[in-house]
Amino acid sequence: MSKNSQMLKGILEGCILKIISMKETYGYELVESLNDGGFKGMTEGSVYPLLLRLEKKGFIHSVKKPSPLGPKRKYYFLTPLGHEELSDFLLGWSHLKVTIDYFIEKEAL
Amino acid sequence: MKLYHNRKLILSGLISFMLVILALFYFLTQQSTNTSETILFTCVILFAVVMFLYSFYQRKRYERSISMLNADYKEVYTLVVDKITTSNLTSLERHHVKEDLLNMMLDAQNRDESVQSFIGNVDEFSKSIINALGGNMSLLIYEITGLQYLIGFIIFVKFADNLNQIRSLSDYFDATISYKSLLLFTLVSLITIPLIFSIYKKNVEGKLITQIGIFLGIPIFSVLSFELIVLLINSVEFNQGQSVVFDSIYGFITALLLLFVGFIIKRSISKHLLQQ
Repeated sequence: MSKNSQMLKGILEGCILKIISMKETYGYELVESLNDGGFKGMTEGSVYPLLLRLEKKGFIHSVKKPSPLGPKRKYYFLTPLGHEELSDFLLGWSHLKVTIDYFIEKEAL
Repeated sequence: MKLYHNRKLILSGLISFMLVILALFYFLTQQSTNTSETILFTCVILFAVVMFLYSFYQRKRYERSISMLNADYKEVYTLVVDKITTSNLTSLERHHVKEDLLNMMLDAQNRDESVQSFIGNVDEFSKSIINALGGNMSLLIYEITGLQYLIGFIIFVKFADNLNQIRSLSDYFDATISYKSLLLFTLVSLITIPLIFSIYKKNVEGKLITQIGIFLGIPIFSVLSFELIVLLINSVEFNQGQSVVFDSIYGFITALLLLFVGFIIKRSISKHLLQQ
């Protein structure tokens, strides 16, 4: 996997945790939120493996609830471990952003 | 392909059938009427019947859901299921993924979303699921998977024992196992099974000879460990009497050969049906 893909995967997982922390959500709704936020071209097929990974790590938990369209939907919510992970991600991101902004805005060394 | 996808149902039916036959043999061969044992074996029969009916019901429910997919979704669903079925995911993980995928596809179909926009590249999707879940299994999953295997092996041992009694065969198939031995054997296997299965799962894509060796290692290692423990117990005079799984080494070797043949047949059928 390329470095860009690795970085994107890490960022995507953090964003997914953030979205789920705001409210309990299911796969398609999550994809719509990501697309609205600027991650164009996201599909349920690309998000589902990430959700599996996050659930395996214990950051999110899922429950099945009836849906108006027919089959049951899997709703995801954040676990206490997930909240810790999200805090770490947001802290790490804010530090990274400051550092990158510094080099982007710097006109000369 | 239908036979391959129905293999769990067939296996469940076979185990249920053997349990029922085992219980019937017991009733036919026992002279005394022991109430607790009668209740136990009645429960065994009921459990076998319920297990089979439950598997049958789940299978029919699953087939009904799949029939609601249109041709495009059904084709992609089958492709993904075949890929994850031949991966090193546990049966529990495979079950959850199949169920999730089916529900998501039905939902997407109801939204009039095309299968291409839903899933993208099928190979990449399957690989990403396997990568997300693959790796170390929890000890509990090993135990559950291994116990299913062990139960099949013990059923075979008792089946051979009862067959020997009914048909008065020579001691070639002599397989005696007391309930005390069964309990100790099970306790020993709770340790040996996950050890061997952890090696098996890491070598699932490896050479055939390695897989066979590991597959047969479960009963061999378990029985040897059990015999060693019995010898140790007898040597400190805590336990009187003899407890062995197989009185005759030839019977044990026959059981292993049958397991080996069964493994080869299962593997060949799986590969053949997947290629169709």
